[in-house]
Amino acid sequence: MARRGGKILVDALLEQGVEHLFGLPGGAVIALFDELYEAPIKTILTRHEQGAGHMADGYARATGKVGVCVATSGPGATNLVTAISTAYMDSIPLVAITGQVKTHLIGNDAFQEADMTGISRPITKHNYLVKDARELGRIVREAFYIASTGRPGPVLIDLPADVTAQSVEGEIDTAMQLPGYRPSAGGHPGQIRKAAEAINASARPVLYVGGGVITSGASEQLRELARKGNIPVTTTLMGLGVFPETDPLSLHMLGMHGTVYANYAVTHCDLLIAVGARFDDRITGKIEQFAPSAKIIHVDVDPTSIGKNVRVDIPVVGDAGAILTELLPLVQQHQRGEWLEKIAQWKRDFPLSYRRGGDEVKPQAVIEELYRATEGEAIVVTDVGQHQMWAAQYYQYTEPRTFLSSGGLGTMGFGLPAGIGAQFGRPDKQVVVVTSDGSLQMNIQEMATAVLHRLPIKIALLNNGYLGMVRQWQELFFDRRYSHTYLANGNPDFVKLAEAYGAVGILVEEPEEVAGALERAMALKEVPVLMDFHTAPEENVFPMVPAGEAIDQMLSGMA
Amino acid sequence: MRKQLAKVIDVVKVQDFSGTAYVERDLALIRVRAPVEKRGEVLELVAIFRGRVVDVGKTDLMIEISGAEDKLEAFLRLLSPYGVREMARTGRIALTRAARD
Ligand SMILES: Cc1ncc(C[n+]2csc(CCOP(=O)(O)OP(=O)(O)O)c2C)c(N)n1
Ligand SMILES: [Mg+2]
Repeated sequence: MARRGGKILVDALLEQGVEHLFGLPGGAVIALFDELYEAPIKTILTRHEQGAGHMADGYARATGKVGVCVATSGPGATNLVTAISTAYMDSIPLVAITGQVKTHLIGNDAFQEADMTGISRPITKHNYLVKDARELGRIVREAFYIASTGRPGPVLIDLPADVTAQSVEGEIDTAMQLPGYRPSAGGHPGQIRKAAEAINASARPVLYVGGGVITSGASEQLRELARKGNIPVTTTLMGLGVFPETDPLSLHMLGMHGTVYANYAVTHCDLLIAVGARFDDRITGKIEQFAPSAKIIHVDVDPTSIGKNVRVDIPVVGDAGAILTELLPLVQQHQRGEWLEKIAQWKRDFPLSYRRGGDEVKPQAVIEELYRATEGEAIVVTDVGQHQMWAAQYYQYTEPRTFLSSGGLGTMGFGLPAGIGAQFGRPDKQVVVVTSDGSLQMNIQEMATAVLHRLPIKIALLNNGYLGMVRQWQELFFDRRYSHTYLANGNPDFVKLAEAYGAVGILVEEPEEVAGALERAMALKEVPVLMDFHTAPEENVFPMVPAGEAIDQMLSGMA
Repeated sequence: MRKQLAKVIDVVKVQDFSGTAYVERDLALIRVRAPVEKRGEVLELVAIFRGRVVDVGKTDLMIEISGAEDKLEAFLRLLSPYGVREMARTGRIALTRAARD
């Protein structure tokens, strides 16, 4: 029986267990969408390809499965670039399928031609240009395998229209051919033993944990290790939820907008155990003064991450879960009373705080109320800016995959579509998008997608009338010269906008209305709700380490 | 660097030759101007550098030469006054020597 390329692709996606696919058609993929017309895959039509890319990404972050998006050639494909890049920076498994012009036209500046394998090379883990439909089965298999193993990442499949239409007789060979791809598995036993010895000998250890532990599904092992050794845990933005922030051992987030006590603990520790984290400059600040008195253990699945930014004393390459499981029995129980007491003192002296009261709606208070209204059980998806940091600071995350944010690339416009993708993947959970007026308008069109599918997604818009994070830097470092960061004079009426899309809009202008609005929103099912909180316009995110400073040199903003 | 190369999916294996014995070559095809009155000089250079003439035209010669990179550089320096018209070059390629004993 003959099959067309498009059918081979759809069959291969089904074999991979794909249930959802996000995309938007065009000439080069019209035959593929024809195959999807009756396929048992739920295809979600987005309003912009960037939306499709972020939805697939949010779906992957929320579920741990590979997210899939489809776009047509040329402009459709280039519209995916930001989303692919976002996934790449955060090591998210994604398969992006782009249409391409017919093979004989490639290189001709044909209508809607863009060199996607060229464009995507630096932002994908791997990419393919399919030249023959007989290769498609194998390529799809390889793409899913590469995307989801080792350090995960996006894989792009560029599919010329004639290959989609190509008719293939009989069986095709789909065996993977990846002789050069060997993702790291367990760590080296000698290195693990050395790590255990260093931990047992340490009086002041700190676990510094990133998104890699979430990817590896190693949250349980991490918790056991921390509790057995009484080792305090700080996480990166990407690692939020991997260790319960309600646990006394939690130091919450570290880095530029981390807690004072996390940054002090890292500065004063004698052993830093980094797991699935990559010493990004937003974490380390001035690198020479980062963890100056500590030995460093670095556990990471990607050997190129180790020793890239800091000197590492004990590198352990491999999967975090496998390594922590090996490490656990070798680590001794330990009280570490003095160290924990010191940290408790820092927590008492320098808690996260902001000025309460007044007649303005404080964005931090909105997040605290949100925590209460959702009983800490929501999946919080953020955009990028001040609201992102407040969402990280003032909500307590206790489970992995419940805080989704563009950490590496910092993509404004991520929040709404990623939240939609997360809600498709986790219909059992309440998804809340925390955003602001700048970011929301970058992919506002996906309101239509949310309404159409009656998603019970809640949007908490911390509407400060500014590109707030940039304004904050201008206030602190550029003499309050607010160059092109004011938005309020051009902002739409977001409540009316929500209603125009068929969603529910709620306006909140007074502090005492916050809790009630959240309660009303949470009670509404089967419809997206946008809560437009008019928040204090010039509120700042604190604490803050100015870029390039040592992380114990924090501005508190409370002076 | 080594780890970065190994990360590329299509790379099957990365071997670092520094600190081991290896053979290194660079191969070039060079079309150089060599009118009759200069041809003798050019051929002499080719002989000294153990190159080969692989094509002969009215006013120019095509030369094949291989060797270590610095040998090729020296050869090219000496040829350049005659006028190098075209060139294709592999860059350095290498393999480790067989283990002795
Ligand atoms: C696509 C994109 N463009 C520009 C930036 C730079 N940037 C970082 S934060 C920010 C301001 C965000 O404003 P808003 O979404 O209103 O959030 P707020 O800081 O006000 O909470 C900007 C412009 C970015 N991160 N992403
Ligand atoms: Mg704003």
